[in-house]
Amino acid sequence: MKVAVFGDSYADENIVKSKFNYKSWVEILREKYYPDLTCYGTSASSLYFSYDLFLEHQNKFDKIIFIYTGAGRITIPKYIKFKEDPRNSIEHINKHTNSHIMYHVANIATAEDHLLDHHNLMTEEGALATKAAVEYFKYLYDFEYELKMHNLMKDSIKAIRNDVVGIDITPHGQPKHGQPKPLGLFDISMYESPISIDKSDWMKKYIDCRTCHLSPRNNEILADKIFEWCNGKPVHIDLNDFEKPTEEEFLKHVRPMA
Amino acid sequence: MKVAVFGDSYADEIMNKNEVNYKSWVELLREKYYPDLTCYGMSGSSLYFSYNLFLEHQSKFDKIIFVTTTPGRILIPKYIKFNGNRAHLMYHINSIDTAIQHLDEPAMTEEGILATKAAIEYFKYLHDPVKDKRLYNLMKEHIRKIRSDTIMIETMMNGLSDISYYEFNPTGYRDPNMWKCRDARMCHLSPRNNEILADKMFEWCNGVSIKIDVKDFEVPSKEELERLVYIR
Repeated sequence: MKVAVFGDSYADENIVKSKFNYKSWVEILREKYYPDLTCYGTSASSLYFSYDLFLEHQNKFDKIIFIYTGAGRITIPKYIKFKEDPRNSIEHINKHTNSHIMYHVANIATAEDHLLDHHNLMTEEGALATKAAVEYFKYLYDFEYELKMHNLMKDSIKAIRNDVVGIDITPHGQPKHGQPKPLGLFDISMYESPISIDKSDWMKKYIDCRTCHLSPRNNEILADKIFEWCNGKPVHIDLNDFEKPTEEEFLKHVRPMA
Repeated sequence: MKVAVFGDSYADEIMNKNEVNYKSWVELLREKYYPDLTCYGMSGSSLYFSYNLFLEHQSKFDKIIFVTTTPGRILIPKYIKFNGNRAHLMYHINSIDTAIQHLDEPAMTEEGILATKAAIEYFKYLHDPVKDKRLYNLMKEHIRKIRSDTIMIETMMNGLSDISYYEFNPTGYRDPNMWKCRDARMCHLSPRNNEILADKMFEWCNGVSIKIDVKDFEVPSKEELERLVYIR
């Protein structure tokens, strides 16, 4: 069975791979269940980035797993060029070069990080586009608009492939009447934490080096869950199905920013 | 029957009203056929602006007429404030040229300047026509899904702009310089073509298939056109 995975860092099997050598749920799913699995997951990418890839490639696959990132990220258009850095080559399965990270601007902090810390990849037009993204977030960003476009893309994905296994990072919107608020993959990331911290502070205060933002054990559990969801079980995240790592293990992969 | 009209300048019954004293198709449709017609048309507005109004208001109406604008326009968010009686126009940016014109408007504020400049930078470095077209189509599909009875009329290809251009050149030639002129026509159409369009809209609201054939419209005299469309 040919399987494709689309999504952001929660579906990026290459993220921080060099640092901690444990397997992501994507690799485990490939090894255990679907040898012919192609992963298009790209860290920090927008839903539109994955939607674009989905439209291009979905008809080559028997099964689609789509990790829906949060609303409101920016993808810098392809006509803007960044530099390649041969010293830092990354062999991505989806054939991205190492400058690909510069196209994905999740928020102002990411854009500023690209401007300050990625001189080796930055170009003149790239800097202008990245600064334009900063200005966009400051003065044009409208979450209501972003959310509506996000939901339209999700509906379109479901309409094109009604067999899609769609998994939210952070489900938006209100729960159905009488139902608890649905959970997403971000909730598992938070559940692992022994530290009580507000969700909104998380990204600002911690460097998360977990593969797909999950512990080794929870990557294993998630791979099995996704296999079940691919085989007809309704997608549902219950934190009781996952395990809390020890504080020591957690802090091996997540550390407070200096 | 309660009727709502959504759209851009092709559906804006106020734009140019003070300058040329004739009626738009929206007003004629209200006067002749649908006294209880509400017009949400706004010059320069994006599809998202109208889509958002549609989501908010469509359930109050028996019939929806939706004039779809071109893809890729920007709506400045409501949290940015402008001044004065032209403030509402400052939120709608359809090109770099519009944004540059807005910067000279008395309605401009400090935060408005920053947002308008951000829109210019967006058009220069972040604009992705493929993405814009896709999101545009998704909004249109959603409108049709919510209200399959919507009278949806394009402005561009096989749309109302065909009539605007036809008024200049019946051969269909689209002079790119035309839009550099000041177009004071109500809804970009001559008085007579606004009348014809109002009748067409009524027919379309009553089940006739939507089709814009420029031959159903009339070419105004050169004098009339020069009075309505002139070099700034």
